[in-house]
Amino acid sequence: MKQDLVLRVALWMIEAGSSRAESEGFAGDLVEMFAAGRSCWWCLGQALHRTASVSEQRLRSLLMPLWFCIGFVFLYPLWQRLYAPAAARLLVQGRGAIQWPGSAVLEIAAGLLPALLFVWVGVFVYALLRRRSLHITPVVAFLSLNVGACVLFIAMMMRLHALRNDLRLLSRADFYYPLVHGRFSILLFFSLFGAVTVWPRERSTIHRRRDVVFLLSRFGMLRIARCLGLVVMLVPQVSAQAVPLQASARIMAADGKPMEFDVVSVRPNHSGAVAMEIGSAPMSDDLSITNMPPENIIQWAFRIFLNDQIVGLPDWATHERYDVQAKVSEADVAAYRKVVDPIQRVPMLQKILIDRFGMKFHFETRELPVYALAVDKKGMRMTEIQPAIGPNGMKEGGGRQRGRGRYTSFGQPMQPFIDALTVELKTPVVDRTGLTGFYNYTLHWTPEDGKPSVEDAPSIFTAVQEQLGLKLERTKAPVQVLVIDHLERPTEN
Amino acid sequence: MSAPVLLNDSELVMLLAILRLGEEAYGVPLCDEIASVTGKSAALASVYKALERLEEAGFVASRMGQPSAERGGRAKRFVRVTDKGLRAIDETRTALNRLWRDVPVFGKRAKT
Repeated sequence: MKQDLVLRVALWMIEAGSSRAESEGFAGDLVEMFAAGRSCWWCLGQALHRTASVSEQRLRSLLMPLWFCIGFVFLYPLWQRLYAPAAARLLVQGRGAIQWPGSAVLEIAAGLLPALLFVWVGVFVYALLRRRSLHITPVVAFLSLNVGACVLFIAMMMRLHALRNDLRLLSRADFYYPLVHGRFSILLFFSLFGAVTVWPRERSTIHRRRDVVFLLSRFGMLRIARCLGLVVMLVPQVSAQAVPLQASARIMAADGKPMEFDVVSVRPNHSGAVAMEIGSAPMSDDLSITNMPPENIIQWAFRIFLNDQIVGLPDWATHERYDVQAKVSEADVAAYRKVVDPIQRVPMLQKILIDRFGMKFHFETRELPVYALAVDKKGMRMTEIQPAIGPNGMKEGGGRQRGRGRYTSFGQPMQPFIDALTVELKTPVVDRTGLTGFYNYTLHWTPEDGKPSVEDAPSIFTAVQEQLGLKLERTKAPVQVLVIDHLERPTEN
Repeated sequence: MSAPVLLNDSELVMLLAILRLGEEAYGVPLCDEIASVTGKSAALASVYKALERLEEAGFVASRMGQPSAERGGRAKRFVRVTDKGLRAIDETRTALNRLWRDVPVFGKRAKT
């Protein structure tokens, strides 16, 4: 009875470990040898030996795709040199032309498309390299190509889930630079590995010598490869030209058109004062800018906080100052007040620059050093609060205080802090925290060029880690640079 | 003209054992044949591993027989040496014979 059980276990191991065709002969031989007098333990030993041998063989067959995928993923930066500028332009133009959530969908599409094409090209390269030993059919080829797409899509859904399903928090950093951002490298690797390992079984020995061109043409693979190649070549061109360069409003006016300020007044300010201001009172219908050079207005309009990211400004734009008063029409007041995201008002300011300062511009993408702000391993230490509800029925963004070596947030979201860090570090900061709440915290640090507000305060890097439970990592990312093609002194009102 | 294929000792033993068994070559008799000829027991798992390697190289081909009750309803996996395998055996024998040709018989020299 016990012998029967051990033999059954041995046979189960063999039959579960490989297909019936592969295991039948061996299992039958084992039964025959048991009947001939071999012990059940000898049979179990043989089964273990056989299972180990089959497993080793399978692992060995995965080595080739494994090394191929690792090597191919390292080519992604090269691939990005082809795609990143076109994708970035598409994003920038799309942001202005397409309303949210369409703009966020555009962000996903522009981020995923190059990655997807990269994976597909990888699959074809792998198939060509192993043309003699792979069995290709159109159905399996189609499935394999889509495995990569599915892995990328699922990963993107997981990323969205981590961002509490808020599409607006997706950034290009979630798609680009696999060698810098380990997460995306791993994602690309698994997409490609998944695609090439579900590729059909090895060709049987007898058919190995068949000509690959015959096979490819027979199954229509050459046509598929040609079409894919054409798409790969055309996409950068199409994406670069698809959306015309324009800066239109995202807030829609009562007449269904992008909202613009109805009345705009621009006057030079010769007061000689240093202080400058920008803002609009709660529930107001206007925007007021006082004593501000065009350089700073452009920074506000395009949410750029570093001079390095603006190229081509004329000298006068950095020191001549202006007052700007802008008002929306009566019909648009209600829509203007309902704005939840202040970023949505930015294109309206861009329109003032275009109309009154004759500004012409374009974006270029350059690879620049950045800091990535992420949550530390030990966890975030800021206090999350429920924000107050403002008079417009929306969550209020709280307030903040800034001083030398001090930053206090009273229930603010992360973005203002990211902006403040950008200014403090004089380097773009990418938000990779995934934090979407409103937080109370105070940060003390010793500025590089000044006395801290608190004695013995650490550097900003240590302070961010110790006091907020976040960390700043030096990395590289494609950064948009605003190139000013033309800017003139404003026309008379 | 392609370079002659030289089989290693385990491959050669396996192919010769298959040739000796003829049509009846499958796992169990192969184990017995190798054990009886070489004097060393051969593990069934090792025999199968070697057969798979030889099949992958194109030296042997396999076919499934009919299921039988004494094997629990499982079929035998018969193997035979292919033409390529026969050529490889021949080329290995030729090479080994050439190597042996001028080597003296050590046993006789020791006696003299």
